[in-house]
Amino acid sequence: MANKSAGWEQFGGRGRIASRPDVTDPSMSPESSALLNRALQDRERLAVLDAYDIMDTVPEEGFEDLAQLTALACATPVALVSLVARDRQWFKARVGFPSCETDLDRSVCKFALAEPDLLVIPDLTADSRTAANPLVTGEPRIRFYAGAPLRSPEGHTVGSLCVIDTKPRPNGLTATQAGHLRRCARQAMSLLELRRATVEKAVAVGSRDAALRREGHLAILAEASAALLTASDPSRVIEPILETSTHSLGFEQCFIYDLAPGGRSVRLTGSIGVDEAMRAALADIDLDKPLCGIVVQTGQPLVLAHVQDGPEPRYAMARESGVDAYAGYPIRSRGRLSGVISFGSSTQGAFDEDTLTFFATIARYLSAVRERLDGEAALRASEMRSRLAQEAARIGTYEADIASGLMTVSPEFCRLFGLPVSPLLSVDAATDRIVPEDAHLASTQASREAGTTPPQATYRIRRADDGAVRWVTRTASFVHDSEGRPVRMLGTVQDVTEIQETLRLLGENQERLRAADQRLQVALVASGVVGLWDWMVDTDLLHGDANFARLYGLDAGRTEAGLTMEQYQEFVVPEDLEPLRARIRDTFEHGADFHVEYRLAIPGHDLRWVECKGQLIHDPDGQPVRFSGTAVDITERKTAEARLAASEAHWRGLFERLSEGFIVGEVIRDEAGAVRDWRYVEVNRAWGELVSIDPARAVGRTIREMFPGIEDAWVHEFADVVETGRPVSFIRQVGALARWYEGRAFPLGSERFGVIFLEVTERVQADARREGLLEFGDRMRTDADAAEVVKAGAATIGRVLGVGRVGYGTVGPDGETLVVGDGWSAQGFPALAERHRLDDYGLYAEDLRQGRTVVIPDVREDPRTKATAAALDAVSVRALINLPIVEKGRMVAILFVNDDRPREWAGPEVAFVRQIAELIRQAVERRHAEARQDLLNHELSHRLKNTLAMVTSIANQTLRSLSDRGPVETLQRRIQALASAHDLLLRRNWSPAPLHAVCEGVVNNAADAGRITLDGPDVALGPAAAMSASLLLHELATNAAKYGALSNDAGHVDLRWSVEDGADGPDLVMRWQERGGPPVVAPTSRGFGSRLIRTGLVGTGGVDTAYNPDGVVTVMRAPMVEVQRT
Amino acid sequence: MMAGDRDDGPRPVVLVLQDEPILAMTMRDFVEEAGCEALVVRTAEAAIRILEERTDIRVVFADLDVRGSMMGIKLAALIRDRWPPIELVLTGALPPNLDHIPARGVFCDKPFREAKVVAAIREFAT
Repeated sequence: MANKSAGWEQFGGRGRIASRPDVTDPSMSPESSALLNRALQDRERLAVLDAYDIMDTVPEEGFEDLAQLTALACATPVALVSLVARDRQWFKARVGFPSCETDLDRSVCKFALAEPDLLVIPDLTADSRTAANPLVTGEPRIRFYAGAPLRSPEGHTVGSLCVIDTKPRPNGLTATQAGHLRRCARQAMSLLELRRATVEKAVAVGSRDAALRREGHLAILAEASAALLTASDPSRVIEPILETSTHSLGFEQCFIYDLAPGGRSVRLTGSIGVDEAMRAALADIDLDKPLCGIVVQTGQPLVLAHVQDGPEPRYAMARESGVDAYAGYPIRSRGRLSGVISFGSSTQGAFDEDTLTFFATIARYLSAVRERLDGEAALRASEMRSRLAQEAARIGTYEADIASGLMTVSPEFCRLFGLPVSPLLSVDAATDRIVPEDAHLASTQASREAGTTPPQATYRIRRADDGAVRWVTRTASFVHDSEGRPVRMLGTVQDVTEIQETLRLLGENQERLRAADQRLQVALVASGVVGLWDWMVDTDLLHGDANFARLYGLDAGRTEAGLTMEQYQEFVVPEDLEPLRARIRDTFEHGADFHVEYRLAIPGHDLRWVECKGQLIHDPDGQPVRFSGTAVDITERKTAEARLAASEAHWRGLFERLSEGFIVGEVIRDEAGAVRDWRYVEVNRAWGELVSIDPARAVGRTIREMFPGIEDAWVHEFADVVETGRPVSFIRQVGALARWYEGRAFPLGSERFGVIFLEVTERVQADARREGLLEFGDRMRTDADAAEVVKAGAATIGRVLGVGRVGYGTVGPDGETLVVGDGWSAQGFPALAERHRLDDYGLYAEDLRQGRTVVIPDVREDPRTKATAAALDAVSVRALINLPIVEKGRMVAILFVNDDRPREWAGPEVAFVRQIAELIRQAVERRHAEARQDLLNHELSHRLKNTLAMVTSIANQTLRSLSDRGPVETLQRRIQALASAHDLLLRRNWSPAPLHAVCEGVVNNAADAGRITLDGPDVALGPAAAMSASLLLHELATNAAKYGALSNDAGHVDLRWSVEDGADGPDLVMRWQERGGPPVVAPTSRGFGSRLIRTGLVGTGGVDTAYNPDGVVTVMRAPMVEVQRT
Repeated sequence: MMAGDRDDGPRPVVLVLQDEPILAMTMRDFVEEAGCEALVVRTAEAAIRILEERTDIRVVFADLDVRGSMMGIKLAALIRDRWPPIELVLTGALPPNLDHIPARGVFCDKPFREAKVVAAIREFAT
């Protein structure tokens, strides 16, 4: 529409003016203003508008087209699809209006909210409601308004389709224009409905997506758990598991770093979605660069959103790599940070809560894996170190990390090389000491990586501190990772200068013997770990060598001289003393091998573990004379063992800390080998919370013992996992608990399986409620009968909530009698009698009368029903919801929900019942209103026809004296024609009647079927036109029967009609043509009949009659608009 | 063509049920026009009393709209059950469900079309 004046533009530039939600219009009466306000603020109306989710959306073609069409049809410069919210009106589509919304002060559409049909204001300046409207008094000076309400199927008006003109239109819209406006409004409403259906579908699809992602998480946790429980090296398993699922999990990149020895850089050890160049760049990178460095430095998880938008310089590297959302978590092992796992996404700005929880869990898993591996390696290393220690004398030990070239060394190692004592050295620091002549004997990075360094080498070094040249024998062993690659080299170094000197002096044959002997001696003496002891029975003194003395922190001279057993035992920790004494008794009394471990608490030293072995030495008579053996310091081994145990505990604790429930189960088979049940081997704390049972009670018992009567699927599905070795996902209810679980079950080898699961009861129930509402909405629209609607609603509630009985009863005017109609009850649930007295069931009846919803979880507990619990029990009611339906302040009906078990009614469940109840109430009310209307129409028609019958009777009686009965019969027939048209309209509830049926009614009264042929398109006549057409055709038929084609036996009438272009839009043209009658004579007189005919179809003429010789032809013409006017 | 065709012997008796005096007048006229004698009652109960007392009723001409404890179509069904030979000519403002009209019953719409009503009575009564 090009009819834009400067004023429109000017207005458009001003934008929206601050709104006042409270509309007080000085031009309106207080009552109507309040009424309008209530309509505007009606929460249900606003909820419906919300459900269309249309406010402030982009323009759409469908609505734009409708606005264009409407403007065209009504010949106005402006047409708007206007939606009226609480405080403003917003235009989904607009023609000729520059602003996309206005506040309510400027709204005319708001008045359409209260109108049942079109709101037409011919001159806005003359209407009290709009005369002061700023759009009327100022630019753009609108003058004419016509709007059709946009009414939702629930009966709420959400806005209007309106047309506006700048000139007043005293006659408003023509009938055609009004019809167009209504039709277009209906069309706009259909578009809105379509939109709502789409929105509801989108919500359903969205929740399904979230469910899928959750299922993905569970599946991965399940696989990772299986890896932790079964694989020897789970860390290698996690990477491919994550890799296949990046898409469903919502990240594209994952980095796993190790903290390099020294702690100043990190090394990428695993990655997903990272290219070669990036991997190379991260192979060993300073902590200051990547985000994971922050995780290392703080030791805390780091979660960032919208990294790309921020200027933070510390995030530069992440920004350059395209990461927008980031989450990094520390990996800890043996109490310190050993690495970082991080996740990144460039396609989403932030990770959601679910995903972050999942990441955190994966990080915890990795920590557990690392802990376990480190624990095992430490144990292996410590055992080896002890062994080596016992083999060598004056030894230094080392443990080299091959990748970094750094090694952990003992103080002796440092002293041996003349280096300052430090726990950490580079390998080079040691190999650099080797004299050039022997340099070829040194281990190299290559030989270390390949594991080919010879197990033993002897070379000369130049001591760093005093420059002395010493002979050193170095041994080497390797610790391999699960794939057999050497990761650490460990071993000893020993100063063998004296041995070398001896060797040089002695002959080669003797050399080996002596060397071996000496090495043993040296080892025993110098390793400091093996002590010798000898207990002389006759003196009762125990003699120990220097090492034994050191072990006990005693002076070597004293132990050599001998001390009593009690003097040594003074250092043994009290709990270990009794077992030690028991072992000694066993040896003396029964000759048992002596082997015992105990702890020594020596003042000024850490607790020391000692392993003691020994035997009794007897004299030739068999009397014990000596008891001697060795004592070894095993503190290091014990510590490693304790660490491993702690790591096992930590790893189990991981499952304990999971928020997901976790089960390890073992199947139980019958004699035929079929799985009948399964036993809980292990459950975690979350399991207990999710099923509300103490976890301690479950272990060792079977699921059928724990949950008698549980669904067989809980056994069969997990049996399948064991049989097929394939994991499965499930969402299933434990009926006895009325709770839903979603989870993943996975095989653990032999007869075992693991299950990791979440409770999803709320989600499943919310889905069921939403689907129930949608489904019931459909039923409501299709079911004609109020009782059917009630039954469908009751069934929906019953099914969704899983209760025993749902019903709808009407309450008598006394507020006391309840008459229960057809409802719904679960199979086997007893039905309810028809009539009840509310007060028989407890004091809650009063709450209902006050319009309050009554929700009782257990009738035996609630003070309102305690006393009447027996009466309720008699009708199988233990828990209930009663919802009063109130009309005009009086409770007219109750929707009740019953169950025979106590039950906590959740808030959303009560809300759901309330929603359905409200829908039922609306449906019932609408059906009742329709029924009342039908009854009224019926009665009216009844009386009208009785009256017509009496009119004819009176006419009959009055004209009884007339000898000519002709006019009397004519009168009777005319009245009958009127009555038959009336009949037709009544049957169609005064909606437009098909022209064919109108003609048929008349023709059947007037002539034999077959003598009049009817033919024409489907045209509907408005009530007025139907009435006058009936009378008119009746006269034509009467004339034909008297004088024309129907007055003999051969004549025939064709009655045909069509819709043709007329001067002012389409016309209905009807043509009555007689044939085969007696010769035609034009009538001379003009009676009522011919005058009636001339008034035409709609009382405005348009009738031509030709008295052709072969038969009368009457052509009637009237504008369609008039013919169809309702 | 009045009742003169059959001057000899009593005329057939038609029981008319109608509580509206003006309509009753017209219905009586129709009956007489058909050459019969009309006996008008105002309630269904009265009609049944008459039927129980008299055996010469050949036709019942009843308005289904007559108010009373036993209305319209129920009365027709009762008559068909208890006095099977009696013929029924029924009228009313609204056509009843045709399935409910007892066998051999004729329904004449209101307002009356004299010719149709008279023909029906004459056919049944003679």
